Amino acid sequence: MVFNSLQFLVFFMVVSILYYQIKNQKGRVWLLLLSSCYFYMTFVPLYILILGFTIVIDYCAGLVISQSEGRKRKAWLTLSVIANVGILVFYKYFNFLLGNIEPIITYLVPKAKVPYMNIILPIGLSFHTFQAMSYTIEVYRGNQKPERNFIVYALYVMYYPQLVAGPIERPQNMLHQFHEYRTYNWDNIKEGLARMLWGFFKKVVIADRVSIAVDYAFNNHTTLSWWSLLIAAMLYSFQIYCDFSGYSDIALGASKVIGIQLMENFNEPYKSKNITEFWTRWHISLSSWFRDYVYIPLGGNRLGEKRRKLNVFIVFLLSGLWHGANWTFVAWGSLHGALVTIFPAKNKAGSKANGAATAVFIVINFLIVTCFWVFFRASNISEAGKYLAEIFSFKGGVSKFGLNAVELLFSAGFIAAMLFRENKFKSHYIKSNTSFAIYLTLMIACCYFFGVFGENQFIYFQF
Amino acid sequence: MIKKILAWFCALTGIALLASSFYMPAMLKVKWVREHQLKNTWFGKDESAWGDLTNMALLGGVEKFREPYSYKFHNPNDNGNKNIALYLYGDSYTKDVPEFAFANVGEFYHGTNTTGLAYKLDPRKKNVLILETTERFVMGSLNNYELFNVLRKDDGQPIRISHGGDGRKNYSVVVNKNLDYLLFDYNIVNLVRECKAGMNYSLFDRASGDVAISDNGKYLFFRTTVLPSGVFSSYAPVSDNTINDLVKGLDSVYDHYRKEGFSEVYFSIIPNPATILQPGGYNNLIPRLKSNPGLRMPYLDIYDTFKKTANPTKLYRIGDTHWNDNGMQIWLNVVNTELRKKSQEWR
Repeated sequence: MVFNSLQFLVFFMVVSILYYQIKNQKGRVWLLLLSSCYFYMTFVPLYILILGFTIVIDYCAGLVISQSEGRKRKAWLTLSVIANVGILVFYKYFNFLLGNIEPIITYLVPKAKVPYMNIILPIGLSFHTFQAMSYTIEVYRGNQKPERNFIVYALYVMYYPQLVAGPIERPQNMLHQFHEYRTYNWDNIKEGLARMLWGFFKKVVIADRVSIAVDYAFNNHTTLSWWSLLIAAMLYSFQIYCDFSGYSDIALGASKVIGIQLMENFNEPYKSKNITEFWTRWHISLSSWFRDYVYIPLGGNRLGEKRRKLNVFIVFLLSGLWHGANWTFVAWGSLHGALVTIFPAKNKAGSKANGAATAVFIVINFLIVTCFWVFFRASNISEAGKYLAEIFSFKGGVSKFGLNAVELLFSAGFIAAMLFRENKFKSHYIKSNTSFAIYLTLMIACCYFFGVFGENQFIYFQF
Repeated sequence: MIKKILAWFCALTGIALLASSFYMPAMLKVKWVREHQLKNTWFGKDESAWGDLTNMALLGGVEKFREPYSYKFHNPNDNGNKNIALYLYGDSYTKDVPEFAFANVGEFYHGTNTTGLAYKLDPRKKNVLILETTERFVMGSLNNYELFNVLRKDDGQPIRISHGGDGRKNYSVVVNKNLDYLLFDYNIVNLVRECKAGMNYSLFDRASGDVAISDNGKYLFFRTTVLPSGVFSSYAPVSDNTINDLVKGLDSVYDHYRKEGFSEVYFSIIPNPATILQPGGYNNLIPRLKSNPGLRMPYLDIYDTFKKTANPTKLYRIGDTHWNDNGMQIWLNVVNTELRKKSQEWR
C-alpha cells in the first residue's frame, strides 16, 4: 500500500483511532505490529517470511551478543550481518552480478545459459535491512541493551510508517518509545496531520506533476533543445526531493499522530553551499548510517588525509550501490564521492559567503547536484551521458516540456512556495484550532484540485 | 463518551470499508444498488451516455468529447443460407453485435474473458471460431494458458475466470478503485470531481485518472495505450522475439481449436484508437504480427482498411475507448465477406 492511496488513508485512520482506544502499552504494540504486518503484506504477502527470518536471527543475535564474550559475540554479529546482507545481495544484486559476469561465462562456455532469477525485489528491503543491522551492531558495541521483548523488537524492524522507505532508525531512538505509554495528545495529532498533509502536497502536487515533464524529457531527449533538457533535469531535482522528503514527512507525521518521534531525514538540502553540506542535509538517516557503520570502522579521518579520502569514496560508492543494482547508481555515488573527496574534511566552501555570494554558491551546488541526478534518473550510463552531452553542447531542438505553459508556471509557483515555506516555517505545529482547521481545509483542497492521482509509487520504494 | 462512540464508529466504518473493498461480491451488490435503484439520487451513481472515457475523466461537460452511442445493425445479404455456427470470443467491442448482423450464421455464441465461453459444437453446421481482441489486450488475452481455460468445450462445469498479469499491482489498483467508489463516487460528490476535471482540462489541457488527451487535443485515449512503456501501449517498443513468441502462441491456439473440431479459427485485432489517430511512434504491433511468416491462423484484417479510411477520425467514438458505428461496420464487413466465402465453400 502506498502512502498516496485511499487504502493507506483508511488504514491509517483505523490504526490511529484503535491505538488511542487501547489503554495498555502491550496491546498497542501488538496493534502496531499486526498493522505493520498487514501494511507490508499488501505488497507481496509471502515476503513477510523473509522479514520474519531476519527478525528472528537478529533478535537472537542481540540476546546472545549481550550475554557472551569474545569470539561468540563476534560470531553472532557476523551471522546477523551475513543473514541481512545475504538476503539483500540475493534479492537485489543477484541478477545484476550475473549480468556483469555473463560475458565471461558465455566466453568460457558459449552454450551456457545464465540462470537469471525471476524475482520481485521485496519492497523497502534496503531500508529495513540496514535498520535491523544497526540494532545488532549497537548491541555489539554496547551502546544498546538487547531487546528482550520479541514483539517490540519485531515492531522496531516492521514499524509501518518507516518500514518501506525510512528514515533508517536507530534502536536508541526507537525501542524505548515502544515501551512508553503515551496519553492522547491533541497537539501531537495536529502536528502529525499537518506534517502528513505537507508530505502529500509535496508528493501529489509537486513531485507527480513535474514527473510528467521529467519523463517526457528523458523519453524524447534526442529531439529537445538543451535548455528544455536542463529545465527538466532541474525539475527532476525537485521531483526526487519532494517525492522522498514528502514520503518522510508523511512517515514522521503518521508516527507523530501516535506520539512516536522518528528522526528527521532532510534539512533543506538545496540550500547547501557545497556538496559536503548537501550530504549533511540529504537522506540524513542513510548518511549517518554509513558514517557510523562504514566510514568510522574503516578508520574515518584517523589514518591520514589520503586514507580519509579513500574511506569517503568507498562510502559514496556503497551508498550508490545501496540505491540500486545498476551502474547508473554506482556512477552517481562515485561522482558525489569524487567531489566530496576533492575538498578537505571540513569543507568550508561558501560558508563565509553572504548575500549574493551565498546565492551563487547555492546555485552552483544545485546545478552540480542536478547534473549528478541525471545518472540517478537515466536507465543506463549511456543515456545519462548523452543527456548531459546534449545539455552542454547547447544544441537546438524542440522546446517542449510535456506540460503546457500554465502547468509549468503552476509547478514553478508551487516549488517556490514549498522552498519558501520550508525555509521560513520549520515547525508543523499550529497552536490555534481555528488556524489548524483553515490550514487543513486549504491543504486538502490544494492537494485535491492540483494533485496528480494515480498509482505513482514513491521513487525510493524501489530501494 | 460521545468521543469514544465516534472513535469506535470511525474505526469500525474504516474496517468495514477496507473489508468490502477486498470482497468483490459485496462490491458488485453495492454497485448494482447504487447504479440501478439509487441511480438518480444524490448517493447513487449515474453515468452519462457520452462514453466510458468521458465518464472516467468526468469530462461530460466538454462539448467536443460528446458523441452518442450509434450502433445500427442490418441484415447482411447471405441468400438465407445459415450453415455456420459462429463462436465469437471477443470483448466489449463486439458484445453488442447481434446474431442477425452476421452473414450465413444460424447459431451465434459470444463470450469474453470475463464471462468465458463453453461451446458445444453443432455437427449439422460448420463451426467457426473468431478470436477478437482489442490491440491493448493482445499480449494478455491471446495467451493460450488462460484462453484454454475460459474458452473450452462445455463439460457441464462452470468456467472459472482467473485474471493473470501482475497480481500484486492489480490487487492494489482494485482495492483503491473500490474504496474510491465507496467513498467518493456519488452523484453529489461528482459535482466537485467534475469541477476538478474541468479545471484540469481548461488550465492544463489534461484529463485526470486513466484518460489522456491526444496531442492535437481532439480525442480522449485510454492512458495505458499511450504510455511509453507497458503491454497495453501502442508506443511501447516490442521486440522481434516477442512478436515471434506471440505468433507461436497464436499458432498453438489455432491448432488446439482446429483439433477440437472447429472448421475454421480466425483472429482479429481492433487497433487501439491511438494506433490510428496518433500513429507517430507506433510500435507496429499489428502489421508485424499479421505479416509474420510463421503465422498460420487466418487473420481478419481491419488495420489496413482503418489506415486507408479517408477520415480516420470517424472510426472511434471521441469520448469512448470503442469504435463508432462506422468502425464497427468496417469490421462486420470484413467478417461477413469471409463468412460468405466460407459458406459458399462448405455448401
